[in-house]
Amino acid sequence: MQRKRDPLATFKSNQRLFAISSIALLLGLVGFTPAYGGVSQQRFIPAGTYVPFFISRDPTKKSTAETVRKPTPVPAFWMDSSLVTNKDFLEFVKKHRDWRRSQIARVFADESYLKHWRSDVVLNKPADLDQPVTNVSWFAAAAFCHSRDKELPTTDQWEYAIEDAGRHSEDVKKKILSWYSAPNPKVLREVKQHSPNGYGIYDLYGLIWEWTQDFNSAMIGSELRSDGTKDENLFCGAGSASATDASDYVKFMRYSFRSSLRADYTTANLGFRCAREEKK
Amino acid sequence: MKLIPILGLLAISVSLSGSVYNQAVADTLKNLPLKSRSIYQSKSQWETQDGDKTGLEKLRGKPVVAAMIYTSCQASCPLMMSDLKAIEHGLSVDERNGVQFAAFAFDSKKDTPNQLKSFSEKHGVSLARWTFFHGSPSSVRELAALLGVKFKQLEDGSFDHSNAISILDSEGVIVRQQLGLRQNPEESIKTLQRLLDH
Repeated sequence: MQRKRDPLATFKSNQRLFAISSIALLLGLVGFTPAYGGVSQQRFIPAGTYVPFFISRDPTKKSTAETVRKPTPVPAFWMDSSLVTNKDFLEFVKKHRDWRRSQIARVFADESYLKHWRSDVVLNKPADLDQPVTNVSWFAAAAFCHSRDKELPTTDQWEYAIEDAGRHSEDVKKKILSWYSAPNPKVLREVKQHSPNGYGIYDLYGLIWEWTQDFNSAMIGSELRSDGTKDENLFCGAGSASATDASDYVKFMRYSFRSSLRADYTTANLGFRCAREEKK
Repeated sequence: MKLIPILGLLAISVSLSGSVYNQAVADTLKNLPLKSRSIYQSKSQWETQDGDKTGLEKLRGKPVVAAMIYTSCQASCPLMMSDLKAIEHGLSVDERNGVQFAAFAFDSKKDTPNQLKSFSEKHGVSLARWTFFHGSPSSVRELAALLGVKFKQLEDGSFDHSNAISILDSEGVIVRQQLGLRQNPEESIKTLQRLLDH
């Protein structure tokens, strides 16, 4: 037998619900700020090629010796010059309630989602506005980019952008290495404090790690044996053998970082920017 | 507030005789909010082998055996299909009817509903229990993220991918994953039987 519900209680709770939603609506209206000019600028990145850290497997061949070593083509695309900031993300969650800290479905982000904020739509202090947003999952990052008619950059696009057509490559590599070896700062600096690269893109290194659209394409060892056989030669077990440039430790770090992620992970030094394919 | 209808439903289900599958209860359950950890929270859109457009919540109501497949591959997919069938065959006829099998295609281009239909016929599976899903690249990417499956399209259009069979409860929460190919299906079968007993 289903318990009968007291009609008065139902009415009262509906009334309370109505009051709460009216207040929420009012707050929402007050809190709403018209789109400011801070929507991240996009930079055009011309087509070219780059050599990924791991060479792609020639599907017709089985062994490492027969892997393909040719560079990967990257079609032209647009990329945000800046990382997405707390301010940008705040604007997003104000409009999209489902992505607020208290509302998000657990399947889309773990418990530390936006934990550095005071509450759903309040930051800890105004100084945080221009810091890159972190503690965001891949699902949340992808939803943010979609809301702006963009996508997360593919790993190929991202790596191609940081390669910067080879400009100052030795210098950049040194800077990245020293960033890797430094401990994580307690407080992140604001975005765009250092000069951009040759494409006009800021903070590809030196501040945080970034989600890519296909972060889950990086496979290690057994994951990549699509036929289920033990071909240890193919992947990371033989990482140095299949790496195109075994000395390229910085690329290797990014590759292994991405392959360690799960789409619901959030952490204090992982954020994102958006990109868009060049319309044909 | 949310508790009251749930308690009511519990009262109904308890009063019904044990394992009888009751459509009315299932339909009412479907109107309750989704669990926070349910993969049916995803708004990704799909098309079945019969060309029906649907969201993932179509699967709500029965435990699901879910996997991602690639029909034109030569190597792993026959193995993936036989792993899925091994789970199916490990269940009694009654149990099988309480379970759904969902196979999602990696290849948005080649694995059209028609292709999936003939793939299902080739494998001789019952479409009463099995559904094959075709989706856009972004639906595929999102589902792979939800199921923890890694994949990469190679230059020739073929796919490298990791192999995972996910067992979902009737609300779409992942309760077990069988990783890799040619695994012993016993644990997955037990998990399904436990879910069916509830």
